[in-house]
Amino acid sequence: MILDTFEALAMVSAIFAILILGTTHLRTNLSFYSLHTMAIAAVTAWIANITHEDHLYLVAAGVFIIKSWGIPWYLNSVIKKINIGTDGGAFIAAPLSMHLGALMLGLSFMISQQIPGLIGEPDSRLGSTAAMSILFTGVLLMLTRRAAISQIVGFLVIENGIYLFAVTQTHGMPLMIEMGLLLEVLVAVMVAGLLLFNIKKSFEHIDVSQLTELKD
Amino acid sequence: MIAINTEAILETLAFVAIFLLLPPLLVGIIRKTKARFQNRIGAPLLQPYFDLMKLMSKGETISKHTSWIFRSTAAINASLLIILAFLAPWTSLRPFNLGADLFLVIYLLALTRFFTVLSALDAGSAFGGFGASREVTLALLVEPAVILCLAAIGSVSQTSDLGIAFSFNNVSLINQPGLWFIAGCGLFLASLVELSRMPADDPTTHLELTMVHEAMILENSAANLALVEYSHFLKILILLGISSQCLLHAIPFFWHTSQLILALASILSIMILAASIAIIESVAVKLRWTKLPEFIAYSVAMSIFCVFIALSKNLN
Amino acid sequence: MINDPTTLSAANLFTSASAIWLAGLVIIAVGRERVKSNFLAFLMLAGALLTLGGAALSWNQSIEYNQLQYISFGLVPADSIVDSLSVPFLGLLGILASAAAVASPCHVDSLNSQGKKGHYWKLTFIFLIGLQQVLLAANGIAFLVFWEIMSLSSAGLVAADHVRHRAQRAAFAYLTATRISTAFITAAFLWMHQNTGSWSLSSWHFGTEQSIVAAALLLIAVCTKAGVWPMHVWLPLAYPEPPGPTSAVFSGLVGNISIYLLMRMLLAGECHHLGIAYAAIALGTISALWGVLFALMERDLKKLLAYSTVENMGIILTAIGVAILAHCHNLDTIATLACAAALFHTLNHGLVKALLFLGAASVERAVHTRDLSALGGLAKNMPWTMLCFFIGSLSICAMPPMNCFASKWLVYQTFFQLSFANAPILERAMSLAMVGILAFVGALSLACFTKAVGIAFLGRPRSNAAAKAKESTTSGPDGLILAQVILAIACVMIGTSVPIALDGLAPALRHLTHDQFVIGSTLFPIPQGQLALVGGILVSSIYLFVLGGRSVDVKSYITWDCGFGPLSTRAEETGSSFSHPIGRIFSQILQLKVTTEISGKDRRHFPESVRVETFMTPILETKLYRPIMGLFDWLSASLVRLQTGSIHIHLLYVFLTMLLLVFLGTNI
Repeated sequence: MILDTFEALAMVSAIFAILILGTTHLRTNLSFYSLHTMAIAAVTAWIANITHEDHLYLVAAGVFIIKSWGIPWYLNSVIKKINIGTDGGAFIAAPLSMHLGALMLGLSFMISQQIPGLIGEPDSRLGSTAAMSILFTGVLLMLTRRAAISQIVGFLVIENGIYLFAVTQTHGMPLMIEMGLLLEVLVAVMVAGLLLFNIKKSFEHIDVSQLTELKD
Repeated sequence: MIAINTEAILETLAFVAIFLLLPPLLVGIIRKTKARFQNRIGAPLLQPYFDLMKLMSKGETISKHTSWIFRSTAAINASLLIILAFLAPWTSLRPFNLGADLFLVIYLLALTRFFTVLSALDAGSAFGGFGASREVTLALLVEPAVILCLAAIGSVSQTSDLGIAFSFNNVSLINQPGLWFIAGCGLFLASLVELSRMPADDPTTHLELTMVHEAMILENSAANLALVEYSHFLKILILLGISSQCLLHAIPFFWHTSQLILALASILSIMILAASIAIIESVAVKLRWTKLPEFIAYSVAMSIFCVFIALSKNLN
Repeated sequence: MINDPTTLSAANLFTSASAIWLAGLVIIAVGRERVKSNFLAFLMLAGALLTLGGAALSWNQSIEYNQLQYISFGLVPADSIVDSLSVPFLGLLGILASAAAVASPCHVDSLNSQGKKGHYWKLTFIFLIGLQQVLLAANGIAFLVFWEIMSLSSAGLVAADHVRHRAQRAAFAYLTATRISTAFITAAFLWMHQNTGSWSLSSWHFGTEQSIVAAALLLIAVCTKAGVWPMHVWLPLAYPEPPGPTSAVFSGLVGNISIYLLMRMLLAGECHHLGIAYAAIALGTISALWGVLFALMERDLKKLLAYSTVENMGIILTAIGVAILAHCHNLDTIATLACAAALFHTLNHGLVKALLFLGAASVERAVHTRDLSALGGLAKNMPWTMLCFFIGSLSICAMPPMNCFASKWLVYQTFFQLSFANAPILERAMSLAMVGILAFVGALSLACFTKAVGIAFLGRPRSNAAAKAKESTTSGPDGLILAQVILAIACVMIGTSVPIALDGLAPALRHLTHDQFVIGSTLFPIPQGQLALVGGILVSSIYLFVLGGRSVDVKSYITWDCGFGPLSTRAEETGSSFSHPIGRIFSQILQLKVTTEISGKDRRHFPESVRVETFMTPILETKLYRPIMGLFDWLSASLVRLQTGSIHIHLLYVFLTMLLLVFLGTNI
């Protein structure tokens, strides 16, 4: 099958998302996340180009500036401050979880073949494949990692997946909503980063698997 | 009866000259680039040639514990790699169409490894032993990635003959930049490991904690060592050549250009890859042995993506 | 049926081979110690050569004869049939039995007790007769009878060294496996007889709905007998035990005969069932991975070879699975490739594994141990064994230009071509994944056999016995060495002339695929022979011109020791340390644990003694088989309560049984 350019870009972003899974080194994770979000910004811009919906250009710029530069930069500085370079340990070995993520890509392809009547012109099965795969990847990331910072990255990846689904299938939501969402993500990450400082301060680690101690 | 024309003879001569002369130059490029990165002038570009010549004239010392395996490995590996140079599609200029079956290519490479590992074990030194042990471990992790990348390309072109798949006139592969690019990346990452380059092995140290390839050839000297080094250089040429060919196929421009430009581009791209190895070695650190599977996993992931693309290509 | 002169002579050859072996059995039973071992070996060789000749005469046409019809098994007489499928296996039997016969005299002469000698000859002759007649059997009953003869005599061979606890355990495990497999085969045969009303093997077709149960039963039986995961646990126990020369026949044919049964029933019998195909592929894949992984970690040379059999049986089973799969989707070229791959790999593996087991037997004879950590440096004292073992290792790692490369290539090609064939996408994905898995298995087996050759034969001797090893009992190469040389030459010959070998298998392939236009030589397009020739010329010219001219300059010195002075052999890599990095990666499956103990006053800086131990718990045995065996123990313990010893209770049982039988008889 021949891919449209935006589908190819969506696939690229999905692949970068899967590559995040491959290492427990947090800085590498963030750079892959940044590349992954850049690809998503490019998808948005390209869709704006083919559908002539000019507000999508603005959204693309917002995604590019806030999500692929701002957030990684902020999280990088958090990492530097709390002085934790790698995720302490993964429940599934990082290489395995990456291969699992790659298999999930195949699975999401098969699922997206089954989704009845996706609206939108052009009808993009591959776009939804990529979006779903990014969603799975984010969930996998949150499931397998221990460090709280990986949880944040996982959450961001999930958010990207949902966004990509919307953008490829319905060509995005109105500008106000998109911008609101972007701001909300930004705020959420800020808050999470602040929380990280506090967790680190009171527990000396950011291992979320040990948060069960907080029970009762 | 083979028609004798000057063009074919010229091509053949050029091909033989390239694969005999280029390999040491590649290593020269790598060393020079690294030296420049470290703010040194570095040895001349042609130093590897001088080294080889110097080694040829030296007297040889071998361990008294070795058997015929050690004595013959250098010659066997050199000839295997020469055969591979004729078979494998490492450049677009291939005057002989010998039918480069992908499994044959992989298994010939494995055969060189078989001999290298045995000759490392032959002298009974501790170095040779753990070098061999690490080599087979790395090979084990890399092998599936290499074969899957190539098999995915072969599967799209519906033939296991790499000569046909890499021939720049295969209609089924013309609009597959994604497949070619990802396969090229996967193969390049895998070659870094197979060639004992930086993230997997540091080719410049002789520290037993780090070395893989150097540990295995510790007992070789003089002409024997020259042959081993030359075969290793040739292996660099072939493996980088295959990955650079994949990357070239990803660029549509090269599908519609003349043979000469293509040949020059393939030589140039091999050199660029060699330089990029040097860059990687300058900016990256050698990974800890236990972290290596993580690195190789990226190559395997690339090969899985290749497989997906191949499967969706032939969707019916 | 006997009218054609070829038919007659081929049939005569087979019958006389059996007769000669039977005569050998009688002679050893009557003559006891008066019989020279050379004479018996000659009888064995004659039978083997006659079998080989019969196979050669009948390779292109199937013959049926009933020279043994006076042996009647009640329901049917012992009909024999030689069709194109059994010919390759008969040929393999001929070659392996010849090698074993050549190797036998020196083995028997080294045995000290007369009882052991007699035991060896009797069981070997019975085993050979059983093997040959199983391959010739035309009907189910004859097949089962000779199958039993073969199984029991081989169990006897496993128990040859029965005073040792290890051999007893192995024999019990092997007997259990053969019992299970015979039970399942019997069930399958009865089922098929019920379906078709015939006992003739060739009249059974597995294409119908009702025959699926029989096919599944057969698959289980074959997996048990061939040693496919998870029924392989007996194999590493039993394979190392048979005495040296017969271990060639044992390792080369016991597994292969069951593969032969599977081919004859499911492939030639046209089984078209996806479930069976998937099961075969899945089991085959797991056992290929499992076998080679455990082979790699093994320290015992023969157990290593045994686990490698598990791997190869797995690969063959996947090929058979794909053949069935391809039949289901009407993909004829792939079916042909898969059948060729399975058949050729079975034969090659039989040949190579026999060669390797003879090599291991030779090592064991010279050093009196099979433990890799006590071997090393044997290349100097045992050059012939080393060379043959090396060739065998090259072959079993599927290195070009050896014979196994051709068959492994066919396996690869089968999966590769399935990946772009007209099949469901999941199957195509599976086939590409299988290409990757096969590459993985190949790399593991490379690691495994470089370990076997490198640790056992290269380096410096790790024990006194290894340093003083002597290759043969006589001054020149003796029978055991000669047998290895024969098999090694056979491997190289097949490897360099694959098209001819495949042409020779073409009738069998036609029989398996039901396609009359199969041409063997076109299946494998790589000119291995020419490549080997070019490679040989290149190597020798490099050797002469680059290395050879300066041999005067070569100085012999000690191995590099960093200037520390003479290295102890304990500094060498051992078998376990060689495979340890890989073991660490798969420590979950292998249950590999390492404990390190460092002691001394200041143990951080000046350790006085360091003790490192590695443990491996076989996960399947402990997690699967021990509970099952526990269950059986408990069951039998509870059943003991039935046996009270009181005669009245026992009479009550008889009465109740009679009542039950009457009840069953009247109602059904």
